[in-house]
Amino acid sequence: MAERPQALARTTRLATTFDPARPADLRKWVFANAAPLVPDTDLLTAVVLVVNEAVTTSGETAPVTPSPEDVVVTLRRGPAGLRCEVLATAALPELSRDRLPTDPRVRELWLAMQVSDDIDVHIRPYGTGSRISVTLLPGAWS
Amino acid sequence: MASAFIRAGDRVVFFGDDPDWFVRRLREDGHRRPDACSSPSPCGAEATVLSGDRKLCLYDSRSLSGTQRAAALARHVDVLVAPALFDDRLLRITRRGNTLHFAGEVDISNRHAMVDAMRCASREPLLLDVASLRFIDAGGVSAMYSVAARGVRLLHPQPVPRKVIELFDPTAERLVCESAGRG
Repeated sequence: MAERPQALARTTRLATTFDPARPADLRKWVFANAAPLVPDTDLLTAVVLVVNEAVTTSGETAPVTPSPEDVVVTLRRGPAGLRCEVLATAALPELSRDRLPTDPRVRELWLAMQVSDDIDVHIRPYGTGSRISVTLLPGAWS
Repeated sequence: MASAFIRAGDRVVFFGDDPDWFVRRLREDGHRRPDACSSPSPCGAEATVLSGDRKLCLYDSRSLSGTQRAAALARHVDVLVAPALFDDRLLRITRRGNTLHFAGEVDISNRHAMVDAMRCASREPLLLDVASLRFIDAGGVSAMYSVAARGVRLLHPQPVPRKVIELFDPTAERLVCESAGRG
């Protein structure tokens, strides 16, 4: 909690890799690095859940099981809020909060997004694949 | 497990393969921070947990000979044994009576164990104590729903897992959340 003013003052960019066999490691990493910015435990748990679904979606839609070095997860935190990004090799459809996706590959991610109105998920084309962004806007935790 | 500890006598011995895990569970179950005396305790336990006037001595069952086990039993009033149906140090599944207890986290790496445990349980509807389940992903809830054709009662779910469950099964057709858990 004491870290909060520093966490809000400047943008910090962090990166890690996702080992599909050990998703808990990534959750722990997200939890630890988002905690200075998000004091509300339920909101923090919801962020961790959505990021977990994003990386799981990335891993499950890959043509071959990715190795631990293949999936890079970045986290930016600062005055603009919190943003976590992961790349997927598959071309995935954009999500709309109000519409259940017809593509079953992104349904669990969509469901996780519904847990909190303060968390947005965007899927954008990136090369032949997709970039999944999980965003928690500033002020959501105040 | 924590509630069993509270219900049991003042001096209880726990035989498990992970005493640290038990202490962590007590904290996560909302008991005020247990005071764990460092080893060696007078009775030779790995640790002694005090909660109010209750006392629980923890032993690692793997490190005890039969004689040592008998001696430990003789020094205590009651005994708790909690063999796990599954324990990968992320998720621990135990069975007490007709209730399956899930503690920890369910994700893609261990949801198969949750499904197996639910399939093996015969009681209808199935009772799941999820008070100590900190995390379950959407795929885990989906798998739970699939195997819960005859209905499942989920006791004390924590806020975020409860939301995911209720979003997945909004009419509680199969997954029925009962009483709120601590967040």
